Amino acid sequence: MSATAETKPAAAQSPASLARRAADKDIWRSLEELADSGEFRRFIESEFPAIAARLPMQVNRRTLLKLAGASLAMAGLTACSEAESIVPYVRQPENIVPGRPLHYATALSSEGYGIGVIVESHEGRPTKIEGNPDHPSSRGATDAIMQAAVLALFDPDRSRVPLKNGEPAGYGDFLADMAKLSADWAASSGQGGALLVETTTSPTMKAQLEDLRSLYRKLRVYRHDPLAVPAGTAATAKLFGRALAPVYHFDRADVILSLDADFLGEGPGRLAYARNFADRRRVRRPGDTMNRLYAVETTPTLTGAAADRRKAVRPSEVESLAAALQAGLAAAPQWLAAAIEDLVGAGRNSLVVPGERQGPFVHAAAHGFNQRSGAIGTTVDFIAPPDALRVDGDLVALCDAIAGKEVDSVVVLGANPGFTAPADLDVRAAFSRLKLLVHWGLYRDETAQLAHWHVPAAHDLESWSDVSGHDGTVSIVQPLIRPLYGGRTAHEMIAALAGRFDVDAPGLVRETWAKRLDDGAWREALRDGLVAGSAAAPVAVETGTGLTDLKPEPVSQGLEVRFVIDPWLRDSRHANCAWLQELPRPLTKQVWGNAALISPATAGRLQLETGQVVNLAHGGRSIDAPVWIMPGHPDETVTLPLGFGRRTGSVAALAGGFDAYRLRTSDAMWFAGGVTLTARADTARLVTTQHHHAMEGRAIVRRASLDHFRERPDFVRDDVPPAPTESLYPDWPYDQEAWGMSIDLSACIGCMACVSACQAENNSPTVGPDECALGHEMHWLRVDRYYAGPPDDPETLFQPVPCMQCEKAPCEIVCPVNATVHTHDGLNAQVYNRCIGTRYCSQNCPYKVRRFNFLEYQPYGEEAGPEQAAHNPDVSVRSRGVMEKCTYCVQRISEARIHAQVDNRAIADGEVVTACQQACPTRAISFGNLNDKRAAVLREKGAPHSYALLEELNTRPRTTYLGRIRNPGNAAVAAEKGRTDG
Amino acid sequence: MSLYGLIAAFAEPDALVHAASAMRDKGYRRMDAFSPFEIRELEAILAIRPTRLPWAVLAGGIAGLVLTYALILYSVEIDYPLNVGGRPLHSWPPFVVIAFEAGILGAALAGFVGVLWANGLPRYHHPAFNAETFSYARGGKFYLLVETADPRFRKGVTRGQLTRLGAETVEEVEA
Amino acid sequence: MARTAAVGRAPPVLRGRHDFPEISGRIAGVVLNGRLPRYFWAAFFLCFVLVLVLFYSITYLVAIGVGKLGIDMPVVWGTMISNFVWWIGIGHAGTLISAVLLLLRQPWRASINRFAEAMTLFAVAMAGLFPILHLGRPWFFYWLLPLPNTHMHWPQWRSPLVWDFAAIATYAIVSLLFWFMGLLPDLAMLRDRAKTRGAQLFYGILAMGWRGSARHWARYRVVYYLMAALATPLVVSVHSIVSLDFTFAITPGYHSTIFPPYFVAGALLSGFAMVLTIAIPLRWAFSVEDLITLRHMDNAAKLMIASGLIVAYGYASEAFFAWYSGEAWERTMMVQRAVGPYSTLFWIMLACNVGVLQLLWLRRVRLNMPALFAIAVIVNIGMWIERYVIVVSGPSRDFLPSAWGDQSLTWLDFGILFGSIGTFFALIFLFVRILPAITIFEVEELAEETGRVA
Repeated sequence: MSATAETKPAAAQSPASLARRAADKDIWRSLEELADSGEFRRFIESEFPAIAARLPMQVNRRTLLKLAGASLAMAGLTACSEAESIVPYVRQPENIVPGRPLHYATALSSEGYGIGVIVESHEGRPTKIEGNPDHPSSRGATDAIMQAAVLALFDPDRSRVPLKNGEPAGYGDFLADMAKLSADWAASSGQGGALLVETTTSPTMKAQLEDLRSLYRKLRVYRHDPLAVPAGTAATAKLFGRALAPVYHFDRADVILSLDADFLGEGPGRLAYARNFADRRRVRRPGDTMNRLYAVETTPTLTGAAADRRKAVRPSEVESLAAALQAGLAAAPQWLAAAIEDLVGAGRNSLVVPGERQGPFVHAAAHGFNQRSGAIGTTVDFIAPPDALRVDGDLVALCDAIAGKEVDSVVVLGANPGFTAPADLDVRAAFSRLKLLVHWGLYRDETAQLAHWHVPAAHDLESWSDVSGHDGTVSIVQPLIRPLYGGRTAHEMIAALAGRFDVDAPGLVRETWAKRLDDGAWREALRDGLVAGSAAAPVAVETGTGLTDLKPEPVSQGLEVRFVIDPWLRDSRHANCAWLQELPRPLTKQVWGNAALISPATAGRLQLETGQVVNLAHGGRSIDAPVWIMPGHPDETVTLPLGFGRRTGSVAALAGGFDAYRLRTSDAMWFAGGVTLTARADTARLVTTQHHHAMEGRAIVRRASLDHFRERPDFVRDDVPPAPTESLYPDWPYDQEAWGMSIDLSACIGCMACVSACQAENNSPTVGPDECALGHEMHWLRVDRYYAGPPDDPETLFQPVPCMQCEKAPCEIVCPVNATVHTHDGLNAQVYNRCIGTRYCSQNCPYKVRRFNFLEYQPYGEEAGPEQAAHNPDVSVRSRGVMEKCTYCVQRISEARIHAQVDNRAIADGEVVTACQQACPTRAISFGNLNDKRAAVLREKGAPHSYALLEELNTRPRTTYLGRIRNPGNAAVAAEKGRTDG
Repeated sequence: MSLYGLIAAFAEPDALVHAASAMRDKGYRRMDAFSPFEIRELEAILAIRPTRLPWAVLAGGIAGLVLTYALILYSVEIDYPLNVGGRPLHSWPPFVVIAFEAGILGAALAGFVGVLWANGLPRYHHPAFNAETFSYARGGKFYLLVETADPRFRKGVTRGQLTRLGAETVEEVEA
Repeated sequence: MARTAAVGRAPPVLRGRHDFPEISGRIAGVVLNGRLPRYFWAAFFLCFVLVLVLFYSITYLVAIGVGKLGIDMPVVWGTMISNFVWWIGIGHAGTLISAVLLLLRQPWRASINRFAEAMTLFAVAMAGLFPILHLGRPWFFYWLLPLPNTHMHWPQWRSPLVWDFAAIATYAIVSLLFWFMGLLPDLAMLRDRAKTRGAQLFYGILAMGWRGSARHWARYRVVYYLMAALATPLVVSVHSIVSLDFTFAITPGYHSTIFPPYFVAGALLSGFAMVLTIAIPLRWAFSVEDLITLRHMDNAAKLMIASGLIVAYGYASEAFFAWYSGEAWERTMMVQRAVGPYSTLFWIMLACNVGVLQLLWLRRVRLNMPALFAIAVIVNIGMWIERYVIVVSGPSRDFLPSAWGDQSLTWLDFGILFGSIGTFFALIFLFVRILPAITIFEVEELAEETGRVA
């Protein structure tokens, strides 16, 4: 509500200003000016969404000229918009104290699975997403995409009004048409009707679909999810006789083998898995133990980077490795044999994780091994798949059905086949044959443009729904704000199809749970963000038919293609989110675009250089893509990230990158062999935030093997310049708090959640691809990625670098205007109002963690769009020409101090949690008051392998690191790692 | 219009020097000499006391230095103490640099103002300007001015003496 | 000494015989008769176009933001700083000639100190622009002054930028006073020469009623010499402080104790190069070769090579101590300077400031005006590149390789640089037109002393 209030005042006085300008100027000329002014555009959008919906994404002068004329005429109509959305609280809602945020538990859907979150809401305006500690899929952590949900909510490009054949129409008209449709279906029992849904785990949705099927018996339900991986369930069906989904318990696993599985970066359980995995790697004392991860991967992933032993293989080789695993030691190559030995040694505490993109055989082989080793029940459980849904097939089947005249009217719920369909399906042609195509979605995307009816969807944060986590735990999704643009939930859509026009979303969800939850339990479920005890019970499995009729695919020859999902844009549904576009990809650090990843050896063979454009051809289709030489990438393989190349959406249109879907066919969804690559002459701009990838032999990320750590617990002091012990200056006394941070490099998996959280918490602007290319990006926290060792199989090291908050800060003494000074509690504060932008501080910062507003990156006041509603009101927005930097989330510290002072006590340990720390799935970051003897951070800093970055400069950083410890096992490797320490 | 004195113009510096010393021997005291560039010998002849301006310059320098250092000290110790990079409030080494510059500035200003004040400049209406012959237009000549105020001044006599000393022209200067 | 040298193989300070009317007439005539050759105005117009370029660039910079310069993270300092150091350096020769040579009783100072001082003033004026244009919020530059501002806080006295502010301001004011004192007698002369009422008023008021009284001369000399004595440590301190902007920082390539002397030497090198760049056309255009003689050119050239050798030593010791410090980043930075993204500039710099300069060992070259002029210009270019290389190469390759990055140069960088050069010369032209470019009274005195009066 207040979100729209944010934008209204600007809009409300726009007509006045339009009139003023029009008055004193030649009318047409002034209209042209108006046509181009963002102010006018926002006015149109907020006052006449119907018109706004017709605005082309790129401003077109002619259309806007007409509209400008119209708007002058309609200027008086401003008053006609819904009053309630502009007037401030007339009656004070009793639970809202202005300035004090409220927190609500709900869940965000990630590929159909729910991850529990706590949303911070200021005066009814959701501003920050935090993980729900009670939710098994979150454990209090979030990922980058969840952080960006608030920005997506306020995205001005969101579809705002129902469209009939592209023309704005009322929701009433839509319901009228739906009434006709449901009447027809009632008559023909759904003959020719079909629904196209995405992966869903929502009990309400499933129930509604079943009801719909029973209502219209001939109605078909198809599922299109470009990221779907049916192989797993297929394999379990073969293996155990019924389709099951695995739930892993990495906290119980001593030895893990990943067969091309990126369980740290992909899948609904990734946050929980990362947490459990890292919990087994917290080594503080020489006596502590660690798990060991062997990773086989066909493209560099976070899991591979975290692995103790990693092997890059071509995609088609994985099946034969699985076969070897199946056959046992004899058949296995030496390195795999070692792993198998290790696994067998670990017994029931071993775990083999099949790659979710791999074929049924790999899944079956992996689970077969787990079963033999008795791991099932210990490190892995099987549950009924939360996303199980009775469907009549996928998009291919739907297109066949349309071709076969069996389907003539389709309702698309959320999916965007217009962009994400396999290249061998001509969805446009198929859909054009339809009598009726209804599309429901957040954006007026490629599919919406084909549709007869497009209905704006409500964002997760605007919706009533329910959704299950990776282990089946159900969360009730409750809205944080009334739909900004009158979006509807999928439940309302289905209800409408069922001919129920009276119902509202909360009612629909409530009635699903009417039997299981009484009002008390319901309120409890809403409060806690999950339905207690709704986790799916493990299913006891016994070997079914086994692998008899599953055979490994043969190793294919020639160049292979491995399709991956862009970690942030996913299937491209987040392509219009600037935060995600500008968030560096974990391994390449690329922003605003994608690239075809190849190995150094292959690049050498083909004489390719990073940035050079190549043509990739497969099955009669070809795309042009810039090459990116990726250390550790398997040879003779090209990795193509999906999700880029969108041209709809004002942000998405800014991004570079190519559309890999154009090469992806329904028979080769994730892997393709026999690809031909021909180099082109031209090169493309690849924007990255890190240009140099070696540590130049400097002791930056200090690391050792577990064995070496046991011999020399303080290995971080070896062969590095010692930190100066005395200073010319007396130490400054910090008698109150002394805030400090410790970052565990063994736990950090480089997932970038901290960076995204920092951006969300601290209102960091996005600057766009061109500015990023100049090196003007504004993230306060960066995660450095270094490679060590041979380029074909390097060790990948991550190091989050926030401001070190040096006690002897080099930045402060060079500032001529006292714009950066120390606070009483030892923070290295930046006073934006004082800063005049000499940039001397950044020049003198050895960590280069300061960020400068080179231009006016963040419009405010009248210039700013609805997205400013996502801003954190506790953090000021910085203007052009001032320096900014990490402040240890000083606003959170002050809030805690205020509360502590109100009830007259000291700030408790753990009461202040920085944004990065809160988001981190592996709890790699600890933060607290160094003067508090019981503080957790003090224990971390007490560990023998705690060190400060560049401590030899005597900057006395408050942020320190714990050296990276890996557990490759082999003593020789250990010794070698020990030598190359630093 | 009273008479201020007689001004004699000479072509050569040496002539001026010779004339000036001769007139002094004759007992003239209220004399002044004018030249396009400095003639060191005149100092003794006209008994010009060594100037005390160097002391003014020194004082100006010290004042600038001390005041500036005091201002800095006041700002960091009393008015707005801040923890800047964990350095002591009174970090004298950097402060000295600024104080030094301020000292130079103070000295230079004192010198400049001092010399103008001591020379009574700017003064746009000195009797000497009333003399037709007094001009630096053509690179300047060398002038000796004998004031009527001088006890030995006798219009005719003095004119004769100056002429005899080789003055190109001798002119009466109106006050 | 100068006089004996004049008899020796070195050419004399003044050629031919002169008398006062002739000297004053020729020099002052340039100003008062205003009969200036056509190409003078052509050149002035060219400079004026560049003045407009400067105004446009500044307006654009302030309106849009410093992000339109080539700067980026990590190299957040760029041409604004190198321009500043370059101009300040040029601003040093003037005061050095007028002050130090005065104290050393160097007769050859007389005919070139005036425009050398003017050059200093204009160079300092240009230099003063850049620290302000460099700011992210230029309109708040006055927050560096101890004034009560909206935030009621003081300047951060430990920052070398504040020292800069003090040093530059002091230097500008002292140079101005010194210059004006030197002008007084000549202004009196122009006052008396002036025909038009306007000119009489203008010069008359400026002359403050100077009448060349022996008593005035006595005090004048004392204070003039005292000022020279003040200006000498000042001139050394100013560029030392400028160099502290770098030395004070811990950035590799900045943090080096050789900088103060090496910067002062560099300043003299570029300063004398600029003196020659101006003097050579000047003496030719106004045919005063007998007042500004080959002797002046010769001496200036000698000073150039002397200071040039100190600069070369600076380069060497920088490299040596980078290695000797044993610090990884210092070494890497030095290597990167030679082979990295800015290596081309680095080698051009060495060629200009060390290579070409050695030609000045040859007397033939020193006395060959076109050659000398060319070398002077080359050295000026070389010195600008030196400053730029120092500014950017350090931060572009500092402590954490993950943060390494290069900066680019945009049209705005060049617009402001060339704009400032144009403005500088435009001011020089105006000065030549309005004030005597050669000190009349001192040349007369010199002629008198050296017995060259007809």
